[in-house]
Amino acid sequence: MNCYDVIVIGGGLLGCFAARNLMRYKLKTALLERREDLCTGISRANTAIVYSGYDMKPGTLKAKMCVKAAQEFGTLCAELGVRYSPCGSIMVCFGPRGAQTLRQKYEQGLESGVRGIKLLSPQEVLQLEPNISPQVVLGLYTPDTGTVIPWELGIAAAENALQNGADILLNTEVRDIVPLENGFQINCGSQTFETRGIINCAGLFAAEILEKVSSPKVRIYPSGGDYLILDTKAGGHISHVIFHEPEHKDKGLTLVPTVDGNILIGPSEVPVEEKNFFATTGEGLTALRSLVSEVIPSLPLEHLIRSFGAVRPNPFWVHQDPLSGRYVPEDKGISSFTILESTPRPFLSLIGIKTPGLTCANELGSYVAEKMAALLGNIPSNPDFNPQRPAPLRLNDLSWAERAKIIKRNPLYGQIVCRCRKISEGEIIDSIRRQPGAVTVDGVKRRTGSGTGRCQGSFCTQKIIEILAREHGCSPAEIHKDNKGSYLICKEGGSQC
Amino acid sequence: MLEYEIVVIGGGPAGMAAALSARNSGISRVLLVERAEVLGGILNQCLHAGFGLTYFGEELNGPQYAARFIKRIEQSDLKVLTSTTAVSLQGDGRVILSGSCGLLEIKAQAVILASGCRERPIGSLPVTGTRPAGIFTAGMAQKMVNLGGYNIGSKIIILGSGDVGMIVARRMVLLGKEVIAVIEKEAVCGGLLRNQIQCLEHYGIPLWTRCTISRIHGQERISAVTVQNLEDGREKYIECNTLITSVGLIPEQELAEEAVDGGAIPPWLFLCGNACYVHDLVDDVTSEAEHVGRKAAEFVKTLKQVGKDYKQAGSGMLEGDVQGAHQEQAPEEDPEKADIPQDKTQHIFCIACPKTCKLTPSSQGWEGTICGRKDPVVAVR
Ligand SMILES: Cc1cc2nc3c(=O)[nH]c(=O)nc-3n(C[C@H](O)[C@H](O)[C@H](O)COP(=O)(O)OP(=O)(O)OC[C@H]3O[C@@H](n4cnc5c(N)ncnc54)[C@H](O)[C@@H]3O)c2cc1C
Ligand SMILES: Cc1cc2nc3c(=O)[nH]c(=O)nc-3n(C[C@H](O)[C@H](O)[C@H](O)COP(=O)(O)OP(=O)(O)OC[C@H]3O[C@@H](n4cnc5c(N)ncnc54)[C@H](O)[C@@H]3O)c2cc1C
Repeated sequence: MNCYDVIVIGGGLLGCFAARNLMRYKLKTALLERREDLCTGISRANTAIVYSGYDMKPGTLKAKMCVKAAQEFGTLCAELGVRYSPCGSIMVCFGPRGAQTLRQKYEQGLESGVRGIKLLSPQEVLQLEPNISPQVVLGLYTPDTGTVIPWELGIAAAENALQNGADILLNTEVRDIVPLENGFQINCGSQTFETRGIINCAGLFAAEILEKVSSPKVRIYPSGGDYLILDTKAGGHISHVIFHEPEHKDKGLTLVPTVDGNILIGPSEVPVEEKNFFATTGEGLTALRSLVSEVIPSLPLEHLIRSFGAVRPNPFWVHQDPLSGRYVPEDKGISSFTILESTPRPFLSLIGIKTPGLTCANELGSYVAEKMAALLGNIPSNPDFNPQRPAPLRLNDLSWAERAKIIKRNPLYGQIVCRCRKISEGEIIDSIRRQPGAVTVDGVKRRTGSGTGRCQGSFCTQKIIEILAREHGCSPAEIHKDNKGSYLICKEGGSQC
Repeated sequence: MLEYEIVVIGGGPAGMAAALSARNSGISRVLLVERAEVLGGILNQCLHAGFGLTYFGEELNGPQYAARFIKRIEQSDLKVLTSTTAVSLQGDGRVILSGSCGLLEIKAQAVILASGCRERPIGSLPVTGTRPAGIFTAGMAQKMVNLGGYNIGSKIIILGSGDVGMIVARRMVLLGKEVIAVIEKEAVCGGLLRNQIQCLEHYGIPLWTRCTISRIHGQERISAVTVQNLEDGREKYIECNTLITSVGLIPEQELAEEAVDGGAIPPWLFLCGNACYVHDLVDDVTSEAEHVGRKAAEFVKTLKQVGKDYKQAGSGMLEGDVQGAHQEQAPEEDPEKADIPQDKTQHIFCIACPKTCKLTPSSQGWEGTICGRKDPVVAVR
């Protein structure tokens, strides 16, 4: 039997940061993730923005956490060895309705203590972002907005948790939770765990996890969003995060100059069939294109290299319909961060955490960890906790002279595998050998950036499969793209052949 | 820092021919760099016949065609570095190479870029749906099957009737796989008629013209596609476990873009093969590359004549004055020399091929016709 003080369910951004912050206390902790890698759910498909906090209602937990998190984000990323681009943001609008919203957000920002927030005249907007449509009527600038690669951040937090003693168990799906006198038993198929407390960070499935121990109170109703990614060749087109406040439509456009130098465009708002359905829609993609032509007409969409779909976890309070016995949602969704505490045993749930969940991941993690430590009864803090996670070697960030030295020490850093992003075999092997390391092609991609360039992996995927197979001592046919079932090569004699 | 008169980047048919012809034009210090472990480029994965009909007057397969040039190179005193990638091409003509032996900085008087092309990814198309495993570009599929010996799927749909797509379709049928159809959005086949007959018709592979794939299905591995008829909009759900895309090739010019100076290709940089524009036939690649090799050799000799021998020049030797020197040596009436960018802002000339092709700026970068081809070639911005 595996016994823990706390088990975190779900290895997305929130689970990874919950685990990291639990290590600040003397708590034996495990994180259980059902898939083959971390950060493959909502944390894989989002807008990657660190919000400065003027969107949220002043005084709420969300606003307070967000403003603080944005101001400290550079420090957090430095601690975790994660790349962060504090590029600032400009919200733009093209008419009176938008202008009113911007002024309101400006006031909110002032009240919440957003640093350096200011309104910009059209000339000032165009000076900072000359490619914005000259029809712009007002801008709202904040310096504390930035962009980060979400999975890079989440994986770094998980590595840090592991370095501080947490267990990270992949391929471990929580099926049942049985209350015990002094905690819970968690059944994951072939494995069973016992724990005193649970932190539920199961993302889109957090309500289902909660319902394993209590009657339904809240449920998640998904909606979808589409994104486009442009090649780095289009990268210079903007230098800030651009938010567009629309006049007539509900949903404006967001443009992000990513850490890797691409432009991310999105998201649209579309209905989605099921929670696991990360798929793009024709309507969404068309809507994005038409918004682009309004907001930033010269954006070279011919440099499109990829589109992807996201799923939003919209939480709603539910009540039981007396006639049908079914649970039905309230009319309006919940807008605050939903952090539920179930009694009598320590069970905390983060449910339907949408934007700015990425920004606040560390704050939320620290919040639930502190709460859990209190629930478990005056747990002492861990004096040995080390917040620093050594950053992986990234040759592209080094000077030629430094690179030359590293290649001399290990020639594998000289062999370029991903030609578009110029990622070496040495970096790929590192990403596999780190703990928790990559076991899938997308796992390598998330850790190194390989396959995210303009050829989208057509040159390097085979080589990466072969390196993974060699490192894990298995056959290439056993290497998956991203999860069980996503085979790339058929097993001889297998059913697919 | 090592010094060479000419550095050729890419050891496919273009790079091999350019390097040999530069050497045969009297340039003694020529370096050929190839990222893969062996020379040959795309040819190594083309196990089918159909190469060399015009250049050698006989029909060879890819590796056989490559072998003839590899042999000539082995017999020459060309310096060859394999397993070595050119990672940067600086504005002053320095090439940075990365390989197991380390990071090398090479000073070159002329650089020939023969880096081939890449395949357009499916992400650039308006195809909706999921992004599961089992979607391959045709060149990637060809390499995995022919060189890796991997079994990549059994029930296959091919999107795009380019030559590579059709050749891969036939290969998969020969391996005993089911190729459901080749799907083409135009009314006619995108590749050579020869390939349409030899690869599709002879093997009974259906070609569905005026159709496209509008949606991809499947959670982990692809399970089906929605095929849309572009004439009447009707859609059909077709089960498959593999999608192979052949939707266009894009010249790999990123290194040239790094070296671009004020919007123009510097005079010491030459492009050839698929890095310049996409060729149908390797024979054309070879003859054009030989021409480019000679032109690069001439350029280096011109530098010598005006006393700008690389051995005496300082580290910034390829800045400014060289272009001037080159223009001195290039009387306006000489058509062979008309390829020097005269006015960087107006237009640039294609310096790669025998004809004097002109590129003009457009919103897309540079456009124009090259070698009598109608399709616009977006060259270096
Ligand atoms: C479209 C979109 C855009 C966004 N943009 C931004 C932004 O720009 N800035 C910002 O700050 N925030 C943004 N957010 C919010 C942010 O992305 C989320 O708050 C955050 O990623 C949520 O992480 P998570 O860990 O809750 O979920 P997930 O990443 O989905 O993680 C949940 C994990 O739990 C696992 N799991 C589920 N069930 C089980 C089980 N039974 N057993 C074991 N494991 C299980 C899943 O496999 C998954 O890995 C955005 C959100 C969306 C939807
Ligand atoms: C599937 C397929 C089938 C074909 N069939 C036929 C046919 O039947 N008949 C015919 O005549 N033609 C055919 N062709 C066309 C012909 O093979 C190509 O036009 C030709 O190979 C192009 O030659 P290249 O040297 O320009 O490019 P490639 O052959 O692509 O060579 C480029 C080389 O450069 C290397 N390289 C790139 N960048 C770097 C760098 N930075 N550093 C170091 N090295 C680098 C690459 O590794 C590669 O080896 C076919 C092509 C394909 C793809």
